[in-house]
Amino acid sequence: MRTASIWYYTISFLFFFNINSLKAQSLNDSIIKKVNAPLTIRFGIDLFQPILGQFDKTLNGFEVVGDLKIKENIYLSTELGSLRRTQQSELINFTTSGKYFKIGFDLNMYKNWEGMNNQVYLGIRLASSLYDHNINNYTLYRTDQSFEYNIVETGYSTGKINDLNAQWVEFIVGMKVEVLKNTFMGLSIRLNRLTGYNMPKNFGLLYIPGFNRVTDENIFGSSFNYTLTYSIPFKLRKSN
Amino acid sequence: MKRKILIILITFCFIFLSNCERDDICIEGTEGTPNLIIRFFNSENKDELKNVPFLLINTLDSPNDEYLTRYIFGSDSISIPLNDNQDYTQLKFFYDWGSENENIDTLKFNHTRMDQYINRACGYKGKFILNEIAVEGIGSEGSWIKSFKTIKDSISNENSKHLVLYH
Repeated sequence: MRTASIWYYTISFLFFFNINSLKAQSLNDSIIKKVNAPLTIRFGIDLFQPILGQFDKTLNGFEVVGDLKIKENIYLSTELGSLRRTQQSELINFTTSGKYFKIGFDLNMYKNWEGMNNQVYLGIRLASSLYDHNINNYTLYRTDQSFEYNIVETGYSTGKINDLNAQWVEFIVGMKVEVLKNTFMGLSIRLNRLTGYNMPKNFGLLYIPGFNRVTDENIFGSSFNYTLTYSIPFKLRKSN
Repeated sequence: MKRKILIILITFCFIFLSNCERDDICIEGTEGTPNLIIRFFNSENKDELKNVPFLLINTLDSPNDEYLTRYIFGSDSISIPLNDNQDYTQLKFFYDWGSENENIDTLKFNHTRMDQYINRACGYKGKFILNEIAVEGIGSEGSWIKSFKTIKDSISNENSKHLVLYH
C-alpha cells in the first residue's frame, strides 16, 4: 500500500512535470537546478508536395521532417525527402528523380506564454542530394525559324544522366503553431546556397531535388515546406 | 503579436515566391544548329560557280504544292536543314522548276550528329558530321547534278560552304 502510493506520487509528479514543464520551471526555480530541459521528439510530413502532386501529375514528392528539442530554444532538425519530377524547360523535357537529406539547427525566437509551444524560428541546414536526370525529348535550337522543328525523342542526347550529387546550405525562417494538443502546423521558407555539385555531362544544372530550380550562373535558390508534425507525448529526460 | 508575425511571414513568403527570375530567352546571336551550306559549281570548269535556275527543294513525302525552300531567281549557294531524327536527309532538288527543262534529282545526305548543350534557354545545338560517302543519288542517267565534293565534313557553323555540287 505504501509502495503503491509512492509510485502513484512519483508517476503523477513526473506526468505533471512533463506536460507543464515550462510552467513548472517558472513556478519552482529549485526544480530547474535538478533537471535539465526535457528532450522532445517531433516528427511529421511535408503537406505541400503530396497536395500539389494531386493536381500536378508531373510531380511526385514526399518529405519526412523531424526535430529534437535539445535546449530550451534550440532544436536539432532534419528533413528527408524523395522526389520525382518531369518538367519542360524551354526546349528540353526532362525528369529528375532523387533523394535528399538535410540536417541542422533551429533557434526559436518566439517567447511563449506559459504552456504554449509555438515557434517562430531561424534555422540553418546542411543539405545533400543524390539524383538522376532523364532527358525525355528536346527540340534542337535553330536560328532559322522557317523550317519545321522535329522533336528528338530517342538517341542523340536523350537518355539517363546518372550519379549526380549536390550539397548546399539553407537559411530558414519558419514557424510552427500548435493547432491541436501535440500537433503542429509549420511553414518554413528557405534560402539555399549551393556549396558543391557535379555537373551533368552535356546538360546543365537545372534542377536539384530539395534545392529546386537552379538558375543560370547563380548559386542561390529558394524552397519552402508546409508541414504537419506530431510531438511524441513522452519525453526523454537526462538524469543528473 | 502572433498576428504580426504571421503577416511578416506571409509577406516574406510572397517576396520569395514572386521574386523575379531571369528571363529564359535564348540570347540573340547564339549559334544554333547549322544548316548544310551547298554551293553549285560548273561540272566542266570546276573552279567556276554556276547558277541553278529556279531551284526548288522539297522533302520526299510532301505534296507538290509545298516546298522546303526555293530560290525563284536561281542561286549558286543554298542552305538546307538536315534531319534531326535520322542519320540521313533525303531531299528532292527541282532544277528549273515548272519549266520544260524541269529535272528532279533525289539526293540522300548521310551524316551523323552530336548534340551539345548550350544553356537552359537555348537547349541543345546539333553538330553534324558528313559521312565519307556524303551524298548518294548523284550521277545516274539524266540527273542534272553530276558529282559532289566534300569541303568540310564537320558542320558546326554556317560560316562557309560544306559541300560542292557540280552540274
